[in-house]
Amino acid sequence: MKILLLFAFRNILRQKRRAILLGTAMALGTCFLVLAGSFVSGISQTLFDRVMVFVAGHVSVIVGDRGYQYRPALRGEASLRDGLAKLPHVEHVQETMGIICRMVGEKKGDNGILIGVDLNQKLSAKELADNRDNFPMVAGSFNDLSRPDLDVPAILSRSKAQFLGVKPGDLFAVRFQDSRGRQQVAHLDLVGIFEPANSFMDAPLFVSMARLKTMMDMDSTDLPYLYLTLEDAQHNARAIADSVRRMLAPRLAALPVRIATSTTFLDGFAAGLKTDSASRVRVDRQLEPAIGWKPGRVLLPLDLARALSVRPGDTVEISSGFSHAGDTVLDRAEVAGTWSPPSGSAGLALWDEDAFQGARSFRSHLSGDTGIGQVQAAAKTLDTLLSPEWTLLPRTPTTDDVRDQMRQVGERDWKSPVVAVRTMYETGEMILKLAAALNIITLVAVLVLFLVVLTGVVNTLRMTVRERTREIGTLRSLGMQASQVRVLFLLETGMLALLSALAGVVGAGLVMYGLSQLSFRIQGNPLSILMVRGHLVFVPGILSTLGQILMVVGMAVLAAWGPSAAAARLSPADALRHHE
Amino acid sequence: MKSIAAILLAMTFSVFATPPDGHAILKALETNETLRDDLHAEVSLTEVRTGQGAKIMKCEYYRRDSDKSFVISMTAPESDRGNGYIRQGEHFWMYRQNTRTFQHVTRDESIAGSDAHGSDFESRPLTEMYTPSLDAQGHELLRADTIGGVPCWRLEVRAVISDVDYPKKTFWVRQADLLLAKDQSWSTSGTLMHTGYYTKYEPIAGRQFPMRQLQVDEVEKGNRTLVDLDGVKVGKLDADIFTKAWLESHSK
Repeated sequence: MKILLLFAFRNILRQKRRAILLGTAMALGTCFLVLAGSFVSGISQTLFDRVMVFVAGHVSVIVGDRGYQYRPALRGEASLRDGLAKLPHVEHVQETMGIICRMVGEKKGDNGILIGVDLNQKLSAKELADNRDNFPMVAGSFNDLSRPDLDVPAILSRSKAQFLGVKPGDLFAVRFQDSRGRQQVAHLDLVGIFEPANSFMDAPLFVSMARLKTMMDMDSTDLPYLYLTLEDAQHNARAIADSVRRMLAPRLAALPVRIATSTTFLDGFAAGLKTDSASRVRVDRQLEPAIGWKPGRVLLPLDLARALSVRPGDTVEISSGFSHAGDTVLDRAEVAGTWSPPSGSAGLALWDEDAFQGARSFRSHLSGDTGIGQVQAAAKTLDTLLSPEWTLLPRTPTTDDVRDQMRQVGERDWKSPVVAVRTMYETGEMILKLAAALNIITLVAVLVLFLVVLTGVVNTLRMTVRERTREIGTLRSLGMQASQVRVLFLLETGMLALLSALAGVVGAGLVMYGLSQLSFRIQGNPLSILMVRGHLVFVPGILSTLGQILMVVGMAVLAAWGPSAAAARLSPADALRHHE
Repeated sequence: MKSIAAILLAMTFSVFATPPDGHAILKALETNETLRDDLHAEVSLTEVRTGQGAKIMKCEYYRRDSDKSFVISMTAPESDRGNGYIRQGEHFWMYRQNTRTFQHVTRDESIAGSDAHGSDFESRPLTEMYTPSLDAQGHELLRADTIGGVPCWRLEVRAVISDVDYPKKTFWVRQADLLLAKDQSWSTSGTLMHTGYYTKYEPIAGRQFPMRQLQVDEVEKGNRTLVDLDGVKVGKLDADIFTKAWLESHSK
């Protein structure tokens, strides 16, 4: 074999010009293939690591309140965060909120996204570097968001600050809807300005998470969106998301309430009873309320109704706690009828799910028994008619599914909070699809190029075989087997292809280095989202590059098979007699 | 556009001659917002945005309170002509004429690119949302005032539930007939957010309708919307109007 390798190498050197021309074509093809693959990988990585991870985290827990997708609050459930942080491969869990807002400055107003920054979050060196890379500061620093001497310190992008006509030290207003849907205005102190790495990063308006929670009428017990940062996210994200979803399986919801008439009141518990059309039919059949089941009504336990002297059609007041302003959380409900609670659920009123969950959303509930035990006892007979703590939405494997689910979360049909778990690879599945499509397009283009190149290889080899017919005859006469002749030609082509491919890879590396040094001034251009601070990003992969080299060599060897076999088939006598 | 929700939910009428009492004023305003009959009106909105000039939007509005239904069919500007919105009970759809598709409108979604959201069309009785504010002595914050020379009662109210746009509002109602003359809305932090002026009422079918109102954005100075009603008709409307098929055929 060693001799064959030497022969093959010598043959390449014997026909330098031909080898150089053929090799150059193959090197260019390889260079283009590696370049295009690395560029597509660069786009994909930029979108995932610099955009998607900020939009979706490696794994995200999305919460919405009864059809309001921009009311990110699961009231009183902040302890879930600690449980999720203990899962394997979870580096940390970060609370996050992105609120659509209107910024009003000295000159004019503009839309933005109010984002809370958790300043207590411990970040790795890489995450800190990524943050610095994405949000290089022109003035101030992110630490200024915690300044105690200012009401709400804020950081803006340079272009937004210029548009609004504000500079560090200036005040500007921001209008937004809080977590209960109220129109709010806050006056922010601009303490920092950053130059975004790409146009996507232009919109954020950063404030500290603690202050944003206060602005949103939330407190430390309320759970906003959660973003989980994972070790080796690409491999672990889906499995962790499945685990998170299992952990977030909801229980049935309960609420201690006070039910009052104009003359008296009694304390009890409430469960939410669903009011969708199917549930209404079932309630009417199973519990037989006197005036039918529908929104705005309550079914009282028989003994409680008797004690209060209320009848079907009467209105009762149901109070469940206190609002942030100190008002009693009070609702009125029409008594639909009475029911006989099973053992263990005495005093349990069945309340229209919408009103029930609305009352539940206030953090200050009546003291005493939570009523969970009573509701669980009632579940034996009412099961799916009862309202859960929240509705856990199904996983969404594709970007389209995520988009559909986002719309579903905003529908009025939801009477309970909703929770969804996603990975950024599912949310950004369209990016992966796009990358795969670009790779296929590149591959097809390169295959066409190689078809031309390999036609040249075949032609060259046929000429070579013809030119070396007498030499083949000599070698065969000296004892070389037919199979060795075939291998000799295949090795010659393979070596040429390998050297060309390696040259192509080196060339691609040089081109990538050169292109990545160019700085494109495309601030505001949507294409800037594909770059990092105006520079193109290439991500060559070792495995993909090896695969590309193997493909080039394999195709060349395959193309050489025919001429090589023809050379091997020559009889030594005929070959020695051959004259041009 | 936000004012579409406000005006269409606040078609005021009736005459009240009760003595000034905060709860009575709120009840009067609430009663004014309730329609027993169906309604059709042509609505024109002139939106003025700082640095952007004026944008005129026109639509036909059909409303049926008995089942919380309404239909909005856009007639101007040309780019929006044929688009529309339909609400049936708890379902709210947007219709796009160019794609001939209906898309569910979420509660947080902006309507026609304006600052109105899907949830703005979900009304609750005023007295369930607000109660008169009291001073330190426990008296209602209610006093006489004038708006454009017209004697009014000025009433400050606060929200008793959290799910409201504004936790604090001030109403000026005309002393003569308790019709709304002006209102102001405040944020939790006490910032004036919005002022509405109701400048022209007309009697239609025995009721007073606010034919013209001006909604002023107090946060983004210079932004305002003038709302004009025309062709108001009260009475039973064809049930077919409140269907997707009608909106689709009407937009052709």
